[in-house]
Amino acid sequence: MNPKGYMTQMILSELEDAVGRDNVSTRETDKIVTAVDLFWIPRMWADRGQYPATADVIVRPGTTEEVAKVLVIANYYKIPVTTWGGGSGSQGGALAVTGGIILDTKRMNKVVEYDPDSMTVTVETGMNFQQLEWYANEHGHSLMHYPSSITCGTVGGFIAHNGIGVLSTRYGKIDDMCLSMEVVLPNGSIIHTLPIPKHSSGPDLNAIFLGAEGTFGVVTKATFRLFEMPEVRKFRAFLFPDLTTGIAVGREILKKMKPSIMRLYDEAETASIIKKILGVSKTGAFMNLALDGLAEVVAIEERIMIEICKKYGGMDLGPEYGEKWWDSRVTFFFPPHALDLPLMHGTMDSVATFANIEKIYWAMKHAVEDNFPDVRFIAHFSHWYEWGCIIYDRFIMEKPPADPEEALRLHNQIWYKAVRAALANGGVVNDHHGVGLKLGKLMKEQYGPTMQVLEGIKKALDPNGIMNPFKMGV
Amino acid sequence: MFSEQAVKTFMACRFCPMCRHVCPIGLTTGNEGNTPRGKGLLLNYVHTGMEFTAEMAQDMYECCLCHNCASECETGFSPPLFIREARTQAVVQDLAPPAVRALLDNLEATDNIFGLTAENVSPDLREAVGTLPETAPTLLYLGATARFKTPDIALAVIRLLQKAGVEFTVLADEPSSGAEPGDLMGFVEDVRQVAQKCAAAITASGAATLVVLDAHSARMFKQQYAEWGIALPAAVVTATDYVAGLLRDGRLSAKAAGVAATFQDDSALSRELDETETPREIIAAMGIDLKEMFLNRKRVKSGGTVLLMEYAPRLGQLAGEGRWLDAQRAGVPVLLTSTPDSFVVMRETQPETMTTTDIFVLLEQNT
Repeated sequence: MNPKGYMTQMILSELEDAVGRDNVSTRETDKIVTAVDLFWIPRMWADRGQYPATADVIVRPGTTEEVAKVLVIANYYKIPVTTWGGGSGSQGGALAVTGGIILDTKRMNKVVEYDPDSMTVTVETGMNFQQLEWYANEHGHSLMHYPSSITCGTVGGFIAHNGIGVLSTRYGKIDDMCLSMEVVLPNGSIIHTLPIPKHSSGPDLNAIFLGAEGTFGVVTKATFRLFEMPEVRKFRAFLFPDLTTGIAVGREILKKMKPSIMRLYDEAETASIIKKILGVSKTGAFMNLALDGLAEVVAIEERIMIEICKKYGGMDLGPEYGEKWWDSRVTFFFPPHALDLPLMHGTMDSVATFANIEKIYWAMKHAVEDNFPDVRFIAHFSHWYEWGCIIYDRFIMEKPPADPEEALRLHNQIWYKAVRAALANGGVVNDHHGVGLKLGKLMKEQYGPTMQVLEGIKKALDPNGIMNPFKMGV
Repeated sequence: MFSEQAVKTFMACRFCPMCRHVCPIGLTTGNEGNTPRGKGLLLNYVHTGMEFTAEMAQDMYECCLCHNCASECETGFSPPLFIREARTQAVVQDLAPPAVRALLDNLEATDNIFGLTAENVSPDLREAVGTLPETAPTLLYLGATARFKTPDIALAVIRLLQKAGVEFTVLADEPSSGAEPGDLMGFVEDVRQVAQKCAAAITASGAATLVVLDAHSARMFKQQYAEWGIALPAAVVTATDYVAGLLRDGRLSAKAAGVAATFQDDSALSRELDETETPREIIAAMGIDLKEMFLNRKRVKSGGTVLLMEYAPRLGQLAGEGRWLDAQRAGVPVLLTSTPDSFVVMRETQPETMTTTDIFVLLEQNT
């Protein structure tokens, strides 16, 4: 916002008129706390005592209609609008790097409709996802979306970057779970996608807004599938001779059944896990599996799964590891277990077909380790489809440069090098953390001329370019 | 400026959003500053040279110290630690919000946050206390909220002890335990002196057992006094624990209350004192059909505190309303509470279709 004199106050008055005075803030502290998310760069910036890139004003609408009023004002004055939920994104997608308005959605936190016949729930997108899951649990249901960020992310946040949870191999990604949406367009129009996502009534409009990171509008309500709680969830772990074998096992299992959890670790990650389980060092590729469903069905699936694993020389490590892992699956994301400053780190997840996924692993590993000798590379493969799987690979540097600008430069060099290696081998910019500010630059490299489709949508829906500038590469 | 442990804690919390799903204030205001992460991030900036401002001070008071964040932290960090220390800084640097300063003035003048004196205690309660002996083996500590805001609850507990034949007394001029000043300005020397004065009054009563109705004071007596090395001559027991024991021992017997109800655990009682079952024993003794509420026992979502309502009424209202949404989903018309503090905040924010009832009052009516 760069108006002169009292004009700033005039605009603030309009915003107050839209959402109420209590819900418009220009307090310095409110600007700071919405200027740092889980992206490593703003955290490093804050760690070094540097002032963050902040919004000019924080606006907290309580309804869809209030969101519409705010966007009408912003569009008229051409003020950037960045939507903020739980602040748990790792790509900088919710940072107001050009100032303007932070649209904090968390007052929109209600369940709108619970339909047990259709097994759907409609919810406002500012609702904390764990609160929604608990609400469903009260009715004996679950959304089966269990990312490590479930306690901090909002419904809208998971839609914005098209997130994924640890049970995705069976239950799907957010785009498999979300049936319909209400969206406020940048001009203030309130639109609805069709009530169901499967039809022959034109393209599925959900696909335009899922993963669009708030660059095309603000998703204000969404309807999700509900699942019954499984009668049983059975865990089993195996150690395979190497990563190639582990991927082959995953591929074969997916031809027969859909485990809820299938996590295959590379040799670097396997070494530390195996030491904890067996108490001795052992090389190979560790896989943790879980099957959900009716006890009778799971018993049959488990027998077949064990047969497949043994056929490939898998050492059966029993159910205990998986059970413990499930109970403590988010503990790793609490300090001091979580990767955090003073380390430099990044999670560079990509996804590809089985034909390419191992190539991508080696290409990214070499891109990181050969070019940045002080940087470690670890990976696992944790979300599987019938056609391929994702690689959840991370780089870790123990002692990044103290100078914030040098640290930023090196951080970006590592990212560009590694993600370009993925792109060159059939991968994509990102699987489920999103593009955000971090990877926007690589979107044109990924899409080539196809990028004009996304740019065209952006131009049509947001001609003034107010929505989440510099994100997703549009 | 901050203790080593506080620095370690806010450095851990500054980038960690993992507990925001249980913050009763953050969930209802939607304000990013109303999360432990937000507060930790601000203090990180103070630690690296930014000025501690009145805005920051205000943010530190937008928390009811319910300890749900600490309880949910899988690695044991406790944000209330740095929030309390930041409140100390706010008071020391004269940056505390005016409403907080007014409560501190009240405490200094009258030893309670309400600015009330013994004359403001209801005549019934004054009379009941007046009939008790000056010294007795058991001392019942009511707390300021019971004395000034919920005399019915205080009277109910007094009558229950009398019915059970307990030899007890209540201090006519009950001093502050230090709970409220500790929450307003941290556990500083001034508060320690308040605690010492209270301990001296308890000692003078000659009691060997201290029954505490106010959960925040019970937490002070049991935990903070021990940390300060302030010895109490009496064994400290909460009123819920004590009365549940009287029922267990057959010194009290209850008849069926004939109500279906849900129950709001008190945060201090359940989380900080690890006492979740004794209120349920009392409820069960009255044959109440208890429908447990969403998030109960140690996971209870606070409905705010009387202290928060006094200095930040809007936040208190939002916290209470937020919890009532959960209570209404229980599908029963009555909400039970087990402490004066919980009773006041829930009753003040109660929807028209529901009623709030204290378990001691209900038990007294049914014994």
